[in-house]
Amino acid sequence: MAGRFFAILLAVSLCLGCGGYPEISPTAYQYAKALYSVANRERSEKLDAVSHQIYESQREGKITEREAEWLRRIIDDARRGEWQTAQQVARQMMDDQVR
Amino acid sequence: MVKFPSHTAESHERVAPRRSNRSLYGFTLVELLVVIAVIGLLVSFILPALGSTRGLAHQIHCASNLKQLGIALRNHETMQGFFPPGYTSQSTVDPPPATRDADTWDAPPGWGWSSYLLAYLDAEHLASAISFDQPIWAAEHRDVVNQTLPYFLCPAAESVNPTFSVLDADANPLSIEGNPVEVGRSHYVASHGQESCWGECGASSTGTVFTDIYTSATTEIAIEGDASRVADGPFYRNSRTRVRDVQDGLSRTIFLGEHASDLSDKTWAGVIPGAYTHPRFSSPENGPDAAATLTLVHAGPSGGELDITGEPIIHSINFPTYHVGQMYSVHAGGGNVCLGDGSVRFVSDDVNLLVWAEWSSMAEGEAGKDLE
Repeated sequence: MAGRFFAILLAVSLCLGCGGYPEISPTAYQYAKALYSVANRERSEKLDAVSHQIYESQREGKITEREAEWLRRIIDDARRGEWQTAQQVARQMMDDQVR
Repeated sequence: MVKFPSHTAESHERVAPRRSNRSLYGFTLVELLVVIAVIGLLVSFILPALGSTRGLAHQIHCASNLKQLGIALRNHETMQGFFPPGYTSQSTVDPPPATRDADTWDAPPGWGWSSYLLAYLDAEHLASAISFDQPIWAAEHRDVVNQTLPYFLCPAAESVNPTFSVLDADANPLSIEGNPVEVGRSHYVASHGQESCWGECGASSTGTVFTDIYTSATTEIAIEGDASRVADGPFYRNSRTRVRDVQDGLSRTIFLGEHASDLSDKTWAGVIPGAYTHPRFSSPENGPDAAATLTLVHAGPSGGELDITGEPIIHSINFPTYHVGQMYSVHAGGGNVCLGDGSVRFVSDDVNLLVWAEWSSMAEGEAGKDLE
């Protein structure tokens, strides 16, 4: 339990440098919400499609490269089977948008 | 003549130097700092433990309140033959009441599910002071609806005023028939199910509902002011849910849950036409919602809405979009819900979203896995 907690903490800290996510675009927020749901339900079959969708959104300028990178890291966690880490990082991304 | 033993003088000689040494002996600055550091370290260990103990006590208190409400629900059902209405509203009478809200069709009298439980909650004095066929905001109810009742308040929730002014769309105090409405606070809400039918839905002639949350299939239905055509949970506008309506089983259907005032104001009194619930903090997706969210919440998916990847949107307790129409608790790691059988469970923030949705509807044959 403690190990899992520290793994999540480490993952979030590495992503953010302990500073939390800055304000993200509405589209990036939508992806964070969707990835929370994907990770929560451990839907591995959705990961490729979401990854491609994120790539397209980045290409169209709807999300920044940095946002795309954050989202891809969540997908990478999920691909490694670290569903809870992926879910917690997605939640953190959303929580950091609360004002 | 008495001779004192000579040891007295000797002892003075022996003892005096020791006393002198002691008087010189004291704490050095380093020793003092070490002691302070040790005490600080101990306090740093103890304080979080005390905090978590207090948090646990609050959580238990909160669950106990919910348990009382669950028992009262069952008693209401036993005595009346049905569970209390989500709230009462003369929405479809012809001609409609002058105070019916044109946008939502919410109308008087507005009394919410909690108010119908007063008679079963050791608050008969309040229940007998209410004319349930008269509006919440009637002058005769002014000193009733602003009462604070201990079992509607969770100690973990933010300590704000036990009463609040009902607000309009612009977050100004709502005026209805020339009067503002001050109501007693509640930290507990009832489940409308997966779907929601408030706001524009309440006045719509048609709407979209999910028919299969696993495939995202939807269908168009006629509503015409009848929320029962949309709602798939036990509490909605003018609901009269009976035990036999809860086909998924009372022990597998969420009836009540928490909504801490840290997120938005809820009341035991009911729904005032034209009112809005406003979030106390903002997320990119939350905002004011219609009057029914003063007493009701829903779980999603609803209205055929899908997320950016085409999946149904489900918001379990503490889901990080923080809608005013969802369950919300400030307990560490989750919150309490009350099932139809009156039992109370602590559900994790990370509860499986699909399971949460399955346990929120009451007759769709979905509740498979356990709610954790």
